[in-house]
Amino acid sequence: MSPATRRSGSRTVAGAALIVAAACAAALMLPGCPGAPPPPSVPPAPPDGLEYQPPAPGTYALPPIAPAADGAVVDDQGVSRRLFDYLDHRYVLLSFIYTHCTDSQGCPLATGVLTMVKEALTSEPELATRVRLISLSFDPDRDTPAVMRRYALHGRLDDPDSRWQARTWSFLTTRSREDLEPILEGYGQSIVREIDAQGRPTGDFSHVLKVFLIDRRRRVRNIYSTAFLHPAIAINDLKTLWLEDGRP
Amino acid sequence: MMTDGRPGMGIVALRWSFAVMAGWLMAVCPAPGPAIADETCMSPYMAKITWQEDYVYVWTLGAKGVGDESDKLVTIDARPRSKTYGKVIHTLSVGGRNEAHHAGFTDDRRSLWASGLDTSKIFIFDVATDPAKPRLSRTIGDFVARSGGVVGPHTLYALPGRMMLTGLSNDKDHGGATALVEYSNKGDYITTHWMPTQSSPRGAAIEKTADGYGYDVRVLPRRNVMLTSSFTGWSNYMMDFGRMLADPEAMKHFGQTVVVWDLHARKPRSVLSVPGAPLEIRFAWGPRHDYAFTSSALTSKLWLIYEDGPDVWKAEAVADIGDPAKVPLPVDISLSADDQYLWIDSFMDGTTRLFDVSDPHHPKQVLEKKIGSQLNMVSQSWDGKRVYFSSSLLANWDKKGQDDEQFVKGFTWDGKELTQAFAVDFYAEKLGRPHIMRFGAASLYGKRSAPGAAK
Repeated sequence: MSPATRRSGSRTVAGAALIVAAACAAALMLPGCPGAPPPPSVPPAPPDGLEYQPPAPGTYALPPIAPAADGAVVDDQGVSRRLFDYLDHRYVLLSFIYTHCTDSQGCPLATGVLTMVKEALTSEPELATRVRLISLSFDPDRDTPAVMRRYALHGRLDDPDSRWQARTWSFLTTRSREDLEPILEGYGQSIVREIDAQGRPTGDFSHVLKVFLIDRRRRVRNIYSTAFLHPAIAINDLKTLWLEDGRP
Repeated sequence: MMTDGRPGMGIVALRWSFAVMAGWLMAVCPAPGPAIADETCMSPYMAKITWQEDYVYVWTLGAKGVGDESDKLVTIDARPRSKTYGKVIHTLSVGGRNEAHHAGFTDDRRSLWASGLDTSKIFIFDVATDPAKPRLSRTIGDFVARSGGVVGPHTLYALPGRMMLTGLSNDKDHGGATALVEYSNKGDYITTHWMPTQSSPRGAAIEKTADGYGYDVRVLPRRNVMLTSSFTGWSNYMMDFGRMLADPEAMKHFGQTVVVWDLHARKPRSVLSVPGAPLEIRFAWGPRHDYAFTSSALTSKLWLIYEDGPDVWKAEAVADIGDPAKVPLPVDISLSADDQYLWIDSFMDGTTRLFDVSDPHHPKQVLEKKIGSQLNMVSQSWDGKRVYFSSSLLANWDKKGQDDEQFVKGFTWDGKELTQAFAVDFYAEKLGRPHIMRFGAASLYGKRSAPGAAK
């Protein structure tokens, strides 16, 4: 088959399913029909938005990349805490964003994926209690606690209660660039304040999208970028860490 | 709780819709523009230059009797309107010779990692603080010990927040068996992934043989695939070229495999047979182009590594490069951003060839041009209009006497003619032997080019 004409695996599997369904409807005793012999092993279709089936939880290792970094943050209610307070011996997905970002492959993608991770966790209640999502702004000039509170509106809809300890998703910012810098440096999240032709700041940021997976021992275990930031992958990685810890 | 261990359970019913994200967009600001410049063939995870490159960084081998005789990072001005266009504007010697070879940026492009194949040292240059004047920020001197015996770090490839390094050799026998090694962007060791071998296939399906050799690495995240190629060990690449060619035993020890890996799990899936030392790997960029090219140095063939059905990868020799009987020794390739054309440099005849690869199974040569007495690396800009060439292969493999030209040459390419724009004589400038070239730009760091540089 020519690589230029290859169809995606998901389409192939979906097409096969349609053919089997049609054959069953015609009372053909094909594998997969009621009463027919067990079907040969068919790989499951990739999750929506992925072109492949990610490796199963626990079948691979996520070696520690670096220690997580701490720093002074402020939540969307204006309460100052340390970032480590939010790690809280949970598995954490930490996403650096700024609310004015409109690059579809940037912050909106990260926040959208965290939304889907949170939805997925509703069917994994035991794991969900061990996970925290954090969106941390790197634009303290504009992303005040009030702005983060509005940004958080959707992510907070089905949190168990309003107490910060119980929340699945925390929306944080910092008091100042001085508070922000050591956090960005600690995680290696570089940002560039863009300038126009006259060298004046535009208010936009160039940044390589990164979402950090942090384990319960405050170690970064994976770093996702646009190319593979997908809820199925993140969930499998969370499960892999949970299995590693000897899930109860 | 866990379900049945099948990946993605619990979310397969979710619809991949970005409608949910609309509520998150609270203000409007210009999105970053598309990349219209920059070098092709780089990591897809890496920040890209969105205008023309300002600088070409050249990782240069020190040579006896030339300048300070040490390896150095050389910066060439690539701004056509600059007073110093095409000239060396900065050099940074690292002191000593390490068999300087390849270099690669971190994903945020703030650091350029450059390695030595002999000493296995890794030099991390800060190219963000002043892109016109890189500075050495860290030297990793314990790569062999930390990696568990890997020798000769070659490709330095950006993954998110970390670097994937290929080895060429090992410290037990200095042969070709080796591994991939991961480091954090800050320069801290993470882990080692040994290449699959006959005795330890690590779950990989072996087509003919598994030599365990390494050379280049490239990834296709969309298909969760990583490819590695295979060269030869320290005992060969540090040997005099003529002596090695005359040594039948040495010539048996060249790579003949490309390994297909599960990128996320870092596990080898299959070992393809690609005899003749397959070197540089270049994945196509097209959203449905599930293939890569590589060239085999000893057999002068262009290979297509392609997915032939879901998760089934194959290797196919699709073209000869020059006359294989004359052993032109193809060493580097560069694929255009639109996947239509492939530059191929061959060392022995000092020639670059351009292939039309729009039909990847049936490439056709459309241009042939001699660049110098010897030729090695080629780097093209994202728009394909600028092509840069360098001359040196390895210290002990470069030609001798008059044929030992050492240069970086910049050309413009209009689709028909390759026209020289500048040349830097690296011996006349007392620099050494230029190997890999990487592009830099002030705009990557929110800076403007230095004022007063324009003509």
